[in-house]
Amino acid sequence: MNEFAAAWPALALSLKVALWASGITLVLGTALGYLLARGRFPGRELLDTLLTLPMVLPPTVLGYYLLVLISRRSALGGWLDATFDVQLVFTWQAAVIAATVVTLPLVFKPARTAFEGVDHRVEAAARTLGLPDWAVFLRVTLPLAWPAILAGLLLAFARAMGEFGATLMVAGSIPGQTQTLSAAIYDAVQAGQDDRALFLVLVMSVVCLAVLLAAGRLRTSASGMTR
Amino acid sequence: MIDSAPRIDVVLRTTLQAGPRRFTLDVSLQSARDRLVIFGPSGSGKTLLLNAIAGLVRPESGHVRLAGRTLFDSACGVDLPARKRRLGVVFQDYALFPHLDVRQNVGFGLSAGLRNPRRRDRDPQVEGWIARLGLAPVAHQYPHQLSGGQRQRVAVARALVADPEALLLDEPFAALDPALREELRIELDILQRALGIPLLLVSHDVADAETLRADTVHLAIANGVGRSRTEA
Amino acid sequence: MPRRHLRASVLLLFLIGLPVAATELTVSAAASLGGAFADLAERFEAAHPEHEIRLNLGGSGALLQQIRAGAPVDVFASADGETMDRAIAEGLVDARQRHDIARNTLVLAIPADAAVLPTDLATLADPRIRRIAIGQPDAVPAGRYAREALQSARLWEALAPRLVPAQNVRQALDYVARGEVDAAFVYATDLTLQPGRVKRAFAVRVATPIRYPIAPVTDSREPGTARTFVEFVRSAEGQAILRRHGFLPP
Repeated sequence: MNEFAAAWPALALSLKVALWASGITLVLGTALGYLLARGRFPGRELLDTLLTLPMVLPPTVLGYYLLVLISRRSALGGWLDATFDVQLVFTWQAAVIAATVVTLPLVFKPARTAFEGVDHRVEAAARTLGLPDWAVFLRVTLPLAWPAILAGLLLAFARAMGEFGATLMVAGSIPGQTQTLSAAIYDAVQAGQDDRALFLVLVMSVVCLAVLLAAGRLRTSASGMTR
Repeated sequence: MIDSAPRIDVVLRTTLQAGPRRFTLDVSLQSARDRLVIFGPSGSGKTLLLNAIAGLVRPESGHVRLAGRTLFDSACGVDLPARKRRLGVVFQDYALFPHLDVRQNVGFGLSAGLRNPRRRDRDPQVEGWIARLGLAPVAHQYPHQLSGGQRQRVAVARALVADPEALLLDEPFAALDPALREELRIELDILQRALGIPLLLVSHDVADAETLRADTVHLAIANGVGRSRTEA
Repeated sequence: MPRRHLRASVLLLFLIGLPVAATELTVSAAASLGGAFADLAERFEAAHPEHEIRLNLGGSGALLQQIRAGAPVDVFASADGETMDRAIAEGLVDARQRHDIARNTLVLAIPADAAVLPTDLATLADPRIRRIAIGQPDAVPAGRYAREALQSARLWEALAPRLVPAQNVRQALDYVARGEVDAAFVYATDLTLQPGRVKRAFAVRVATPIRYPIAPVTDSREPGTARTFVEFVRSAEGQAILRRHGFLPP
């Protein structure tokens, strides 16, 4: 029981980062999916490709780009430091940024496909029935695209829980502050603390299993509605 | 002198470009009576015409007047958006909302707000139309569980529940067998007489015009232009 | 193709094919030995063309973990005696073959353009020093030395919230060179790696001298070559190379 108390900070941090990242990815991913599905603007496919890049880049490469982007000596990081006295590197917020960037493709890509697949005539019907465009989106388009977005979101959450490489570069592994469960496992192995490593691995496995099970239940009920 | 302003008055001219293909719609339809059936082969622009009347597509020039209301007039700069035209539209393939049951589909247009009607809501108007069109046994079912005829009735009920000022139907009986078609035609006939609103129906079945005793317009396509010829 | 050209090509191919037949020696060395061992490997290969050195760098703890897990390592050089002691206790290296090859100093490094210049451990308490990089004390010897020094100065608890653990001492150096931390505990030998971006604030007195032991790995497949390499590192030539990189004699 004492071991669990020791593992709790890392687990709590992993959950916090994963929940925040999933929340941001849900909103941003859905919006981007819609923009890419319905928008007609030059560079649309280029934008899609750029946003998909984090999925194929090695974690260390991605981590390096992020580090360069938000470090104190960069344009953005320097501005944040000077204006708000905010240093993102080595904070849990940096971990959220890394997790968000990595999981965004997992949501916006299925969202785009889902939005492209919504029958335009059904939306037209809603408009003839008196609905303004935003109501058509909320009551018709989004509910029809939702099961696919939800499936992507659950994958994103699981991925965010396990995110390690890029996170390590921008947030480090500070126990109690930025040491997620994945990082704690890595550190325990490096320090030769095999018992602790094994325990943490088991905790992580149980949590992931629980998420997968919950995901299965959610998906069945969500897609049941659209049948 | 009796006021002889036509109940249905549609004059439209518009050109669509899709890659190398160009299509021009050039129609003029008037009817002093309440019923008009629009015939034409595929590709003659029937659906485009209906979409333009419904406000889903904006034509380049012309005007649309139904039952005394001007919905579109390029000369005066009038162009009511689809949601304000108060038309009941029944689409080809019905375009029912797959994520809502029959009752929710029918009641959809009663609220223009954020939320869909809930499954357990019971609105008297909705219930009335469901009963009238014989949909009570399937009111809780989803579109994919219904037969073609049932879906068509749901589409009609949905279009009529919000008290529209005219009814537009795009080949509403095309997917049904002949016996069912005649049955639904008669139903439509009774409905329209009861409601007293103009009825525009796009079809390629002459039986529609016959049973409904409607005025007819023919669209013909030649050299990428769909034109209308009226036969009273 | 004329016959003599053909013969020359075949000979060339044969010579190019030779290194494939050479023996390969895997040397796991602590990160702080990286630069010196790269030079040592090069000199060794020049003197013994039949051998090829594969250099594997990392935190001493991680390297030991790899050997423990059965990685095919022939020579192990760690940044502290304690990790080597553990290796001996687990039977991974032979105690009789262990030798110290160099000594190092622990220093506190700061960014070259730092506004705050601490002069000793106590002055680290300055609130303007917000983050201090340190190697993971449980896995990185430099971190452990730093922790011991802070604990004996009774500053460990006070400074703990500001410490940023790094995976190895090079990463700690990178953090301070980048300006992401205000100070870092690194080796004196590391300072030369980032000349314009970091500078030494002060040397840290440590209880145990920082000695680098080296030993051939018991399960090595090339025990003879491993011993030869260790001898080379201990020789005058090897020691000269280490000196050039800033290490002190053992």
